[in-house]
Amino acid sequence: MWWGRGRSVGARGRFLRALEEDSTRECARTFRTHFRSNASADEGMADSAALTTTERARRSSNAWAEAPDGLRGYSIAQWHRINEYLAQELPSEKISADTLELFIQAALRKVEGEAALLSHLPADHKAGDMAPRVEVVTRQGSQPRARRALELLQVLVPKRIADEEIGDALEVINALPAGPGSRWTRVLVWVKVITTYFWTILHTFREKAMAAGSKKTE
Amino acid sequence: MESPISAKAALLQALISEDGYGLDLIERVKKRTNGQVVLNQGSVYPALRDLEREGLVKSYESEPLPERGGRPRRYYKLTAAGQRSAFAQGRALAPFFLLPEGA
Repeated sequence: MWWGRGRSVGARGRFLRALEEDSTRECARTFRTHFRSNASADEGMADSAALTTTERARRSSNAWAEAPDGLRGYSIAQWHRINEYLAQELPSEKISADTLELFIQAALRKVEGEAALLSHLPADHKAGDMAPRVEVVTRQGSQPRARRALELLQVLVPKRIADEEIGDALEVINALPAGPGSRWTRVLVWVKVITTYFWTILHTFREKAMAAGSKKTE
Repeated sequence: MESPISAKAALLQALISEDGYGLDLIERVKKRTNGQVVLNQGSVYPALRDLEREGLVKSYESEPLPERGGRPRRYYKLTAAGQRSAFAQGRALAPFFLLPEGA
Protein backbone atom coordinates (compact mmCIF):
# COMPACT_ATOMS: atom_id res chain seq x y z
CA MET A 1 0.00 0.00 0.00
CA TRP A 2 2.69 2.43 1.06
CA TRP A 3 4.88 1.50 -1.89
CA GLY A 4 1.93 1.87 -4.22
CA ARG A 5 1.42 5.37 -2.89
CA GLY A 6 5.11 6.17 -3.32
CA ARG A 7 5.02 5.14 -6.98
CA SER A 8 1.89 7.14 -7.58
CA VAL A 9 3.30 10.27 -5.97
CA GLY A 10 6.53 9.87 -7.94
CA ALA A 11 4.76 9.70 -11.28
CA ARG A 12 2.57 12.63 -10.29
CA GLY A 13 5.57 14.73 -9.25
CA ARG A 14 7.42 13.91 -12.48
CA PHE A 15 4.33 14.72 -14.49
CA LEU A 16 3.94 18.14 -12.87
CA ARG A 17 7.63 18.84 -13.39
CA ALA A 18 7.32 17.94 -17.07
CA LEU A 19 4.30 20.21 -17.31
CA GLU A 20 6.32 23.00 -15.76
CA GLU A 21 9.13 22.41 -18.25
CA ASP A 22 6.63 22.23 -21.13
CA SER A 23 7.93 18.86 -22.27
CA THR A 24 5.03 17.22 -24.13
CA ARG A 25 6.73 13.89 -24.47
CA GLU A 26 7.62 13.65 -20.78
CA CYS A 27 4.15 14.90 -19.81
CA ALA A 28 2.50 12.17 -21.84
CA ARG A 29 4.81 9.47 -20.52
CA THR A 30 4.41 10.39 -16.83
CA PHE A 31 0.67 10.99 -17.22
CA ARG A 32 0.32 7.45 -18.52
CA THR A 33 2.50 6.06 -15.69
CA HIS A 34 0.37 7.85 -13.11
CA PHE A 35 -2.88 6.51 -14.53
CA ARG A 36 -1.51 3.00 -14.82
CA SER A 37 -1.21 2.91 -11.02
CA ASN A 38 -4.37 4.99 -10.44
CA ALA A 39 -7.23 3.47 -12.35
CA SER A 40 -9.56 6.43 -12.19
CA ALA A 41 -9.36 10.18 -12.63
CA ASP A 42 -7.59 12.18 -9.99
CA GLU A 43 -9.04 15.61 -9.23
CA GLY A 44 -6.20 16.62 -6.95
CA MET A 45 -3.73 16.04 -9.74
CA ALA A 46 -5.95 17.87 -12.22
CA ASP A 47 -6.04 20.87 -9.90
CA SER A 48 -2.27 20.81 -9.41
CA ALA A 49 -1.78 20.51 -13.16
CA ALA A 50 -4.12 23.45 -13.73
CA LEU A 51 -2.16 25.53 -11.24
CA THR A 52 1.12 24.65 -12.95
CA THR A 53 -0.31 25.44 -16.38
CA THR A 54 -1.64 28.79 -15.27
CA GLU A 55 1.60 29.66 -13.54
CA ARG A 56 3.44 28.96 -16.76
CA ALA A 57 0.90 30.89 -18.79
CA ARG A 58 1.37 33.78 -16.40
CA ARG A 59 5.06 33.83 -17.26
CA SER A 60 4.34 33.73 -20.97
CA SER A 61 3.84 37.27 -22.24
CA ASN A 62 1.82 36.03 -25.25
CA ALA A 63 -0.70 34.15 -23.10
CA TRP A 64 -1.24 37.28 -21.02
CA ALA A 65 -1.34 39.55 -23.99
CA GLU A 66 -4.16 37.58 -25.58
CA ALA A 67 -6.04 37.28 -22.32
CA PRO A 68 -8.50 36.05 -21.34
CA ASP A 69 -9.04 33.84 -24.39
CA GLY A 70 -5.31 33.29 -24.67
CA LEU A 71 -5.19 31.65 -21.26
CA ARG A 72 -8.10 29.35 -22.04
CA GLY A 73 -6.61 28.45 -25.41
CA TYR A 74 -3.24 27.90 -23.81
CA SER A 75 -4.65 25.39 -21.31
CA ILE A 76 -6.78 23.51 -23.81
CA ALA A 77 -4.02 23.39 -26.43
CA GLN A 78 -1.66 21.91 -23.91
CA TRP A 79 -4.01 19.01 -23.15
CA HIS A 80 -4.72 18.40 -26.82
CA ARG A 81 -0.99 18.28 -27.48
CA ILE A 82 -0.51 15.67 -24.76
CA ASN A 83 -3.49 13.69 -26.02
CA GLU A 84 -2.23 13.74 -29.60
CA TYR A 85 1.16 12.58 -28.48
CA LEU A 86 -0.41 9.68 -26.59
CA ALA A 87 -2.60 8.76 -29.54
CA GLN A 88 0.40 8.63 -31.88
CA GLU A 89 2.97 7.08 -29.61
CA LEU A 90 0.92 4.93 -27.25
CA PRO A 91 -2.39 4.14 -28.97
CA SER A 92 -3.00 1.09 -26.80
CA GLU A 93 -2.86 3.17 -23.64
CA LYS A 94 -4.79 6.20 -24.72
CA ILE A 95 -6.23 8.23 -21.86
CA SER A 96 -10.02 8.19 -21.77
CA ALA A 97 -11.92 11.21 -23.03
CA ASP A 98 -13.53 11.60 -19.58
CA THR A 99 -10.18 11.84 -17.86
CA LEU A 100 -8.87 14.39 -20.33
CA GLU A 101 -12.07 16.35 -19.93
CA LEU A 102 -11.53 16.41 -16.16
CA PHE A 103 -8.08 17.92 -16.66
CA ILE A 104 -9.27 20.46 -19.18
CA GLN A 105 -12.16 21.49 -16.91
CA ALA A 106 -9.78 21.94 -13.96
CA ALA A 107 -7.54 24.10 -16.16
CA LEU A 108 -10.53 26.19 -17.26
CA ARG A 109 -11.75 26.66 -13.68
CA LYS A 110 -8.32 27.98 -12.75
CA VAL A 111 -8.22 30.17 -15.82
CA GLU A 112 -11.64 31.63 -14.94
CA GLY A 113 -10.05 33.10 -11.81
CA GLU A 114 -7.27 34.61 -13.90
CA ALA A 115 -9.73 35.83 -16.50
CA ALA A 116 -11.70 37.75 -13.86
CA LEU A 117 -8.52 39.62 -13.04
CA LEU A 118 -7.67 40.19 -16.68
CA SER A 119 -11.12 41.41 -17.67
CA HIS A 120 -10.08 44.83 -16.35
CA LEU A 121 -7.44 45.14 -19.06
CA PRO A 122 -7.77 48.35 -21.05
CA ALA A 123 -9.29 47.90 -24.50
CA ASP A 124 -6.19 49.23 -26.24
CA HIS A 125 -3.96 46.64 -24.58
CA LYS A 126 -1.47 45.49 -27.21
CA ALA A 127 0.09 42.04 -27.52
CA GLY A 128 3.40 41.82 -25.73
CA ASP A 129 2.90 44.99 -23.72
CA MET A 130 3.15 43.93 -20.10
CA ALA A 131 2.73 47.34 -18.45
CA PRO A 132 -1.08 47.23 -18.22
CA ARG A 133 -0.86 43.93 -16.37
CA VAL A 134 0.77 45.63 -13.38
CA GLU A 135 -1.62 48.54 -13.54
CA VAL A 136 -4.60 46.21 -13.54
CA VAL A 137 -3.49 44.49 -10.41
CA THR A 138 -2.73 47.64 -8.50
CA ARG A 139 -6.18 48.99 -9.38
CA GLN A 140 -8.17 45.82 -8.87
CA GLY A 141 -7.74 45.53 -5.11
CA SER A 142 -10.85 46.56 -3.23
CA GLN A 143 -8.97 47.62 -0.10
CA PRO A 144 -6.25 50.15 -0.93
CA ARG A 145 -5.88 51.26 2.70
CA ALA A 146 -5.44 47.70 3.88
CA ARG A 147 -2.81 47.16 1.20
CA ARG A 148 -1.03 50.35 2.17
CA ALA A 149 -1.04 49.22 5.81
CA LEU A 150 0.64 45.99 4.77
CA GLU A 151 3.17 47.88 2.64
CA LEU A 152 4.06 49.95 5.73
CA LEU A 153 4.73 46.80 7.72
CA GLN A 154 7.46 45.97 5.24
CA VAL A 155 9.79 48.54 6.81
CA LEU A 156 9.64 46.73 10.16
CA VAL A 157 10.43 43.20 9.09
CA PRO A 158 13.23 41.47 7.15
CA LYS A 159 12.84 41.18 3.38
CA ARG A 160 12.32 37.44 3.41
CA ILE A 161 9.47 37.62 5.92
CA ALA A 162 7.98 40.57 4.04
CA ASP A 163 8.13 38.79 0.71
CA GLU A 164 6.67 35.61 2.10
CA GLU A 165 4.09 36.61 4.68
CA ILE A 166 3.04 40.08 3.50
CA GLY A 167 3.06 38.76 -0.08
CA ASP A 168 0.73 35.90 0.88
CA ALA A 169 -1.58 38.29 2.76
CA LEU A 170 -1.74 40.60 -0.27
CA GLU A 171 -2.45 37.63 -2.50
CA VAL A 172 -5.39 36.67 -0.27
CA ILE A 173 -6.73 40.23 -0.23
CA ASN A 174 -6.30 40.68 -3.99
CA ALA A 175 -8.17 37.44 -4.60
CA LEU A 176 -11.29 38.97 -3.02
CA PRO A 177 -13.88 40.34 -5.44
CA ALA A 178 -13.07 43.80 -6.81
CA GLY A 179 -15.27 46.78 -5.90
CA PRO A 180 -16.14 48.38 -2.58
CA GLY A 181 -17.09 45.00 -1.11
CA SER A 182 -19.52 44.10 1.65
CA ARG A 183 -19.06 45.02 5.27
CA TRP A 184 -18.00 41.44 6.03
CA THR A 185 -15.39 41.53 3.28
CA ARG A 186 -13.91 44.68 4.81
CA VAL A 187 -13.91 43.06 8.25
CA LEU A 188 -12.19 39.97 6.84
CA VAL A 189 -9.56 42.10 5.11
CA TRP A 190 -8.74 44.03 8.27
CA VAL A 191 -8.63 40.85 10.35
CA LYS A 192 -6.11 39.56 7.82
CA VAL A 193 -4.07 42.78 8.10
CA ILE A 194 -4.06 42.66 11.91
CA THR A 195 -3.13 38.96 12.10
CA THR A 196 -0.41 39.56 9.52
CA TYR A 197 1.03 42.38 11.65
CA PHE A 198 0.92 40.13 14.72
CA TRP A 199 2.52 37.08 13.12
CA THR A 200 5.14 38.84 11.04
CA ILE A 201 6.38 40.86 14.04
CA LEU A 202 6.38 37.73 16.20
CA HIS A 203 8.22 35.77 13.49
CA THR A 204 10.73 38.61 13.11
CA PHE A 205 11.52 38.45 16.85
CA ARG A 206 11.77 34.67 16.61
CA GLU A 207 14.21 34.86 13.71
CA LYS A 208 16.32 37.50 15.49
CA ALA A 209 16.35 35.41 18.68
CA MET A 210 17.40 32.31 16.75
CA ALA A 211 20.11 34.23 14.91
CA ALA A 212 21.41 35.63 18.23
CA GLY A 213 21.27 32.15 19.77
CA SER A 214 23.26 30.60 16.94
CA LYS A 215 25.89 33.38 17.17
CA LYS A 216 26.30 32.69 20.90
CA THR A 217 26.83 28.96 20.36
CA GLU A 218 29.52 29.75 17.74
CA MET B 1 -8.43 21.79 18.60
CA GLU B 2 -4.97 20.24 18.86
CA SER B 3 -3.57 19.09 15.51
CA PRO B 4 -3.01 15.30 15.42
CA ILE B 5 0.40 15.71 13.73
CA SER B 6 3.07 18.39 13.81
CA ALA B 7 3.21 21.17 11.25
CA LYS B 8 6.65 20.04 10.13
CA ALA B 9 5.52 16.46 9.51
CA ALA B 10 2.45 17.65 7.62
CA LEU B 11 4.55 19.97 5.45
CA LEU B 12 7.04 17.24 4.58
CA GLN B 13 4.17 15.02 3.40
CA ALA B 14 2.61 17.87 1.42
CA LEU B 15 5.90 18.57 -0.34
CA ILE B 16 6.40 15.00 -1.55
CA SER B 17 4.26 15.50 -4.64
CA GLU B 18 5.50 18.93 -5.71
CA ASP B 19 7.11 22.16 -4.58
CA GLY B 20 4.85 24.64 -2.83
CA TYR B 21 4.67 28.03 -1.13
CA GLY B 22 3.01 29.08 2.15
CA LEU B 23 -0.60 29.65 1.11
CA ASP B 24 -0.57 26.74 -1.27
CA LEU B 25 0.82 24.38 1.38
CA ILE B 26 -1.82 25.43 3.94
CA GLU B 27 -4.52 24.52 1.40
CA ARG B 28 -2.79 21.35 0.32
CA VAL B 29 -2.43 20.01 3.87
CA LYS B 30 -6.07 20.83 4.65
CA LYS B 31 -7.27 19.09 1.49
CA ARG B 32 -5.04 16.04 1.76
CA THR B 33 -5.92 15.45 5.43
CA ASN B 34 -9.60 16.02 4.84
CA GLY B 35 -9.53 18.99 7.21
CA GLN B 36 -7.98 17.02 10.09
CA VAL B 37 -4.83 19.13 10.00
CA VAL B 38 -5.24 22.87 9.52
CA LEU B 39 -2.09 24.97 9.39
CA ASN B 40 -2.17 28.75 9.68
CA GLN B 41 0.13 31.69 9.19
CA GLY B 42 1.39 31.31 12.75
CA SER B 43 2.58 27.75 12.29
CA VAL B 44 3.42 27.28 8.62
CA TYR B 45 6.20 29.83 8.10
CA PRO B 46 8.25 29.08 11.25
CA ALA B 47 7.92 25.36 10.46
CA LEU B 48 9.15 25.90 6.89
CA ARG B 49 12.10 27.97 8.08
CA ASP B 50 12.96 25.33 10.71
CA LEU B 51 12.80 22.59 8.06
CA GLU B 52 15.14 24.64 5.88
CA ARG B 53 17.59 25.14 8.75
CA GLU B 54 17.49 21.39 9.38
CA GLY B 55 18.36 20.76 5.73
CA LEU B 56 15.12 18.92 4.96
CA VAL B 57 13.82 21.49 2.49
CA LYS B 58 15.35 24.21 0.38
CA SER B 59 13.68 27.28 -0.99
CA TYR B 60 13.80 29.42 -4.10
CA GLU B 61 11.99 32.53 -5.25
CA SER B 62 9.66 32.91 -8.20
CA GLU B 63 9.48 35.97 -10.41
CA PRO B 64 7.95 39.02 -8.68
CA LEU B 65 4.17 38.82 -8.98
CA PRO B 66 1.87 41.83 -9.28
CA GLU B 67 -0.86 40.31 -7.08
CA ARG B 68 1.73 40.16 -4.29
CA GLY B 69 2.63 43.83 -4.66
CA GLY B 70 5.63 42.93 -6.82
CA ARG B 71 7.01 40.41 -4.35
CA PRO B 72 8.10 36.94 -5.39
CA ARG B 73 6.66 33.73 -4.01
CA ARG B 74 9.08 31.62 -2.01
CA TYR B 75 8.70 27.99 -3.04
CA TYR B 76 9.95 25.11 -0.92
CA LYS B 77 11.15 21.75 -2.17
CA LEU B 78 12.32 18.62 -0.40
CA THR B 79 16.03 17.88 -0.27
CA ALA B 80 17.25 14.27 -0.51
CA ALA B 81 17.31 14.12 3.30
CA GLY B 82 13.82 15.61 3.37
CA GLN B 83 12.53 12.98 0.95
CA ARG B 84 13.99 10.19 3.05
CA SER B 85 12.46 11.67 6.17
CA ALA B 86 9.07 12.20 4.50
CA PHE B 87 8.92 8.64 3.20
CA ALA B 88 10.07 7.25 6.56
CA GLN B 89 7.21 9.10 8.24
CA GLY B 90 4.78 8.20 5.47
CA ARG B 91 3.66 4.87 6.92
CA ALA B 92 2.84 6.37 10.32
CA LEU B 93 1.06 9.34 8.79
CA ALA B 94 -0.88 7.38 6.17
CA PRO B 95 -4.15 7.51 8.18
CA PHE B 96 -4.06 11.32 8.02
CA PHE B 97 -2.78 11.77 4.47
CA LEU B 98 -5.26 10.25 2.09
CA LEU B 99 -4.82 10.16 -1.64
CA PRO B 100 -7.41 12.26 -3.40
CA GLU B 101 -10.70 10.53 -4.14
CA GLY B 102 -10.55 8.14 -7.06
CA ALA B 103 -6.76 7.80 -6.94
